[in-house]
Amino acid sequence: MADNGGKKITLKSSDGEEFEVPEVVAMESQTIRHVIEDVCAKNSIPLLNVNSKILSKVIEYCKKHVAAAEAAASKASTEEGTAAAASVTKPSDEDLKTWDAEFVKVDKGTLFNLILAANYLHIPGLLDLTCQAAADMIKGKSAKEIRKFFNLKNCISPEEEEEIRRENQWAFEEEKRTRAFDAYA
Amino acid sequence: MDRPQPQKSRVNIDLNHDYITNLPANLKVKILVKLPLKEVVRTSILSSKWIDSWTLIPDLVFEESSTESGLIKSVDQVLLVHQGPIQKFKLVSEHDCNEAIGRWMLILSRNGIRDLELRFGINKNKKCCVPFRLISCLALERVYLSYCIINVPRFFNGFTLLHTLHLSYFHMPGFGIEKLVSCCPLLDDLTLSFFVQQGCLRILAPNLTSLNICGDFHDICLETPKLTWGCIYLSSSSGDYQEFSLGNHGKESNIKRALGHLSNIQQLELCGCDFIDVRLIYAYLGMGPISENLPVFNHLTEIFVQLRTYPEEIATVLYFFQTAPNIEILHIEDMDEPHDQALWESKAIQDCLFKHLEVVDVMYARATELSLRCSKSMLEFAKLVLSTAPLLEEFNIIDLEDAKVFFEMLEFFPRLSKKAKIVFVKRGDEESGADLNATQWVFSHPYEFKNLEVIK
Repeated sequence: MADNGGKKITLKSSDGEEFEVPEVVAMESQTIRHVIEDVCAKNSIPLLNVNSKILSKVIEYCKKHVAAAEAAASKASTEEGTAAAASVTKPSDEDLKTWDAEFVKVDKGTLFNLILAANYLHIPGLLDLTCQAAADMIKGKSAKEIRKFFNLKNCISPEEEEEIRRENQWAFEEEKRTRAFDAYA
Repeated sequence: MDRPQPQKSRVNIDLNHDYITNLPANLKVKILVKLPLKEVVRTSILSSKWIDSWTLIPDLVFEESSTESGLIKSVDQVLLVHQGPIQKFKLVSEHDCNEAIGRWMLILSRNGIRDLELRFGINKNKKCCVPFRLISCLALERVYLSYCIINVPRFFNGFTLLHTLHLSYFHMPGFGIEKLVSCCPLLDDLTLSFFVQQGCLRILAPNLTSLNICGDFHDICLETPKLTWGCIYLSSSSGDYQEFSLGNHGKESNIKRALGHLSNIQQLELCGCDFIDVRLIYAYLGMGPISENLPVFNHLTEIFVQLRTYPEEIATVLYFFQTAPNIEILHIEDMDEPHDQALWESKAIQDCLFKHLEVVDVMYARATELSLRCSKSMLEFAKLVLSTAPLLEEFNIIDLEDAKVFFEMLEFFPRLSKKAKIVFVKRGDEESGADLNATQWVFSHPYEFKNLEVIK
């Protein structure tokens, strides 16, 4: 990734640590982009809601995705014509997906703080990735398992639970899955 | 996109902490929306703080097949307790929802529906009649309907935000298609498949870039100047192309009438129906007097045609080779048809330009028993291309049963391009499939092309 000559910007975490990053990486965050573009070019941007551990992870994500985008762009411009481009597979997309999958293999606390940070910093790709990881933690689990996994305090009485189950009976039925309806393959 | 919500909570890497319940509602919803609907609803019993969390999800997808009453009850129940805007509603079902669809559409229209997908069943031969309420859904951006009857009322102001419309196995009485399309100024991506249109199918869409038509129509007029991707597939139940009308009572050639506005087209696929053994689209386009100002396709870089050798039809095929100088990728389907040697020595052939041609794919019909060997016409075509295309790189022959003879002959044809390679490819069953309808599509998905660059 081209680091030479690119403008750098300093991001300061809530616990006082400073991270110097290329401006193009910081601009993955739309919040930071607005600060740079609309307010005025600042040399140091304080981020009061993101601590150093989470900020360093966020920066890691942004760096990787900016680098991947630059690699894809330079590859496309060197390819001759559309014929070659039509038949080329996209190994870089697969690599990035694998990298993303590894990136979210973190403990729950880190993951949820990443969700909050991605939301605050307005980084759509990271928000989507982390929310999907959280959803994957819920998927397929029973209510009991979910409560245990996320340390939820169960404060619904059995009668209340029964009433909710009845109201939404269709969702709680253990019905036989009929064959997937696939007319539009 | 939501405005970012600043968070007061600090980081707390505490193993016993409940991280998820106290997330702001919009983030909780962002997570829930990635789960199947049943699991989302089941979160209502997790704890007292979760009872209503799920009711805010903006996307409702009903895909699992259950009993008819079960399905209707579940949709009714969800729509009843749901809160907030409903951005997406998707229903895939084999059941008869004609009775319920009216009240569902009412609720959707009041909740700002943007993305509507209704795919009804193929088991019963019954289409769902989409209620007039549909037109009150003014925020619609994407609509996908299958097995539906859609009535477009006379006083229809259109969907001003609609950009994607995919209709299949549908029926729109009168000139409903024309009216619907012309009232949606932002329409960008249109698919119309498996339908019958009496009279002329006129598509008036100034911003349309992607068009996919597969249907039974006698006359077509595409007023779509921004179109870059087009796939026109004509299938007729009558099977007799003599019945086709000539546009403008014969004053204009059909190719001008149908495709005259497509000055920006980059990728084009023209197909006739395979299994009736009548290739109608080429005959249709070939009709009408040769007038002035026939369309020229300067931006056309990729094309799929069928090698039609009947006189009225071959003229159409050659027309593209004569008026589209920038074709880079050519897909041509060999049809085992009568060979006319005189044609291949005519001026029409010499006027064909293959200046930028790089890739040729010769396709053989997969699901039918036709074309188990290459036709004489295809040999002539191969000879022509190999000797006149200076930039040719690949000459691929796909799924040909009796490849040996073809190969032996091709090897001897002179090649203008030093780089040209002849390759035999077997795509096999993964792309053919038993469904005859499916085999007609060479390119199954328009988005395959979207990433291609255009050489100006």
